[in-house]
Amino acid sequence: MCRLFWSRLAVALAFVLGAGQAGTALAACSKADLAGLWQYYVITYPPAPASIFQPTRDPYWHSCTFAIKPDGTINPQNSVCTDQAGQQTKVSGSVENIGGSTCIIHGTYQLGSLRVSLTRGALSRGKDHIDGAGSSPAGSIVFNATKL
Amino acid sequence: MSRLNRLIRSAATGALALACLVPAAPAAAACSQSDLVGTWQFFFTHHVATPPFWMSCTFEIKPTGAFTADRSTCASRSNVSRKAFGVIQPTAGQSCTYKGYVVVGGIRFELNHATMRRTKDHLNGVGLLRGLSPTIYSATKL
Repeated sequence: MCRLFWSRLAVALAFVLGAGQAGTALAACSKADLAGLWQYYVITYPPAPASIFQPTRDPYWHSCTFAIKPDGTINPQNSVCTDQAGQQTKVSGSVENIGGSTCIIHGTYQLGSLRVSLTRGALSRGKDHIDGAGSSPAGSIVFNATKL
Repeated sequence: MSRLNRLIRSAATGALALACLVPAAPAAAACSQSDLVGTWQFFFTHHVATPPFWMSCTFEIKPTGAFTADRSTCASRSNVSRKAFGVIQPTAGQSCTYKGYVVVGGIRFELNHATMRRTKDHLNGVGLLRGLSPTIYSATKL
């Protein structure tokens, strides 16, 4: 009788502990979650001028469509960025999950002569939205992306 | 023989069931003007001004995409509420991208490009203040 009680208690404890772990587990993502068409907005903050004789540069944005292949490559055939003035530039690059299966991503893309680093982005649990930050020789960037 | 047939049939049924469980390649989401109908909380940030500023707005959007007068307002850090006028509409067909404009206190903000999430309750976008100065914004359906 006593043995039965202790074995039932052990099962109940294992259940409670298991449920607790599930609640705090981090979401898992894969490269496949990145595949598809994304609408990407990025704002670039140029650094402060090195001297008072240099002009300050204002922040600016790009609105981009990224077609990401299952291997994480940004397909330059149908990936394009539009700047504030409406000028369009094709982009190429790649993205991947940091550590392979986390929902944190990083990558790079080439926009004309500018190489932009996506230092760290977080994929939402719905796998349809990314917020992140990065940099390029033009300054620091903040970006978001929505899966179309 | 009939046992083999049954085995093959059950294997085929199982494979079919598995195939149904595997999701098809996701198509682009479809959205419409009606997905905008309702009350939205917008946050605009503008970085060019000295100092940079934000604007918090509540827009009630009608089925036409126009904002309902008297139920659409914006306030900045000074907390002075100003009426807002504007319209937002799909860029094309069933796309989940939108464009429009907002006028607050006589100043026009172009909503050059905005994108709706698949959950239809959140927008991100970029725009221009007075047609020149960059602004970014996000919006959540209330």
